[in-house]
Amino acid sequence: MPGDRIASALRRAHSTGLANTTIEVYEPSVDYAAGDGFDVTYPSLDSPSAEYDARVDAPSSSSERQRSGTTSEIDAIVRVRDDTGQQWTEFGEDGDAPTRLRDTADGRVYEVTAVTDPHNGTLQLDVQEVDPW
Amino acid sequence: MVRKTRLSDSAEQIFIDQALLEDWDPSGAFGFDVHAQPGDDAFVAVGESLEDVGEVYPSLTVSRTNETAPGSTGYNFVTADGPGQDRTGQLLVTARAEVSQEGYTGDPATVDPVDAEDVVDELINEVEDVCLANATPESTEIGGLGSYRGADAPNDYDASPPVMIEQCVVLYHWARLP
Repeated sequence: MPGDRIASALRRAHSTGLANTTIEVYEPSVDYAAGDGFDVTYPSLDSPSAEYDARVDAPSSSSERQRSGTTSEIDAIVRVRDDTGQQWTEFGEDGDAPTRLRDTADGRVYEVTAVTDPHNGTLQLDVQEVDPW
Repeated sequence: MVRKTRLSDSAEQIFIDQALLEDWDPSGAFGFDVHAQPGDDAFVAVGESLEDVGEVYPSLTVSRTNETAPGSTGYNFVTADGPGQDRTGQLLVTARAEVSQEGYTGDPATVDPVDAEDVVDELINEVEDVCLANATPESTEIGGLGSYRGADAPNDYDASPPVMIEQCVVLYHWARLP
């Protein structure tokens, strides 16, 4: 299908030309103890579980999707290839804590608030900046 | 009576550990069990705050609303070692469940699913039963427990899907002795 070829072309282009930084991924681990509730911990900042080429962009202040509202309440948009096999957990997911990531270019740490799949070979992650832990 | 100037833990944690976890009866709450682990059908998240339970439904949170003692300074009796306080306090127990098409059941084999509004009501009924089971003064570190329903808590229709909320107030008492 032409769609598949376009998607794989975009994946290649993403790695070679579109990416502007590398992101480090920090996956949360969630413990539950009866009576104490959930406890979310992240690996320490210098031991990421994975690294990917990514493109980090400023969010648009105008609505750019069919969804209502704008992306102005998020801090950045991160685009990654959709074939990394990485599980991106987002904010507010049932029983999951959000994945955190660090932009190696400027050291900023973000939390994934929403994952959108535009079906073009990339994934779009809406992220909010959090304090390094 | 043990003489103490402070509780071993926060009152809400004592309530969870010594009452909720010890006397919870799943059959009174559509099979939901406070001992169940995430992923179980019977799982109900229990914690002191929303941060502890997250957006996992159904959930129970226990928060302290107020602790008071009679008199202008709160010291209302005198012991050989100094003044003491009769502390009475209130815990607010909140059950939350988001509206779900599948409904809620803690035991799919025997209990038919019910909607979110009914499950929060039944969870609070079970919390009140737990209080009744701990009505005598020696039951917990924070004395005997009583409960009543407060005003109807407003459901959260801002969330999508809406979250149904039901609450009850738990009364406790402990003596603060020098």
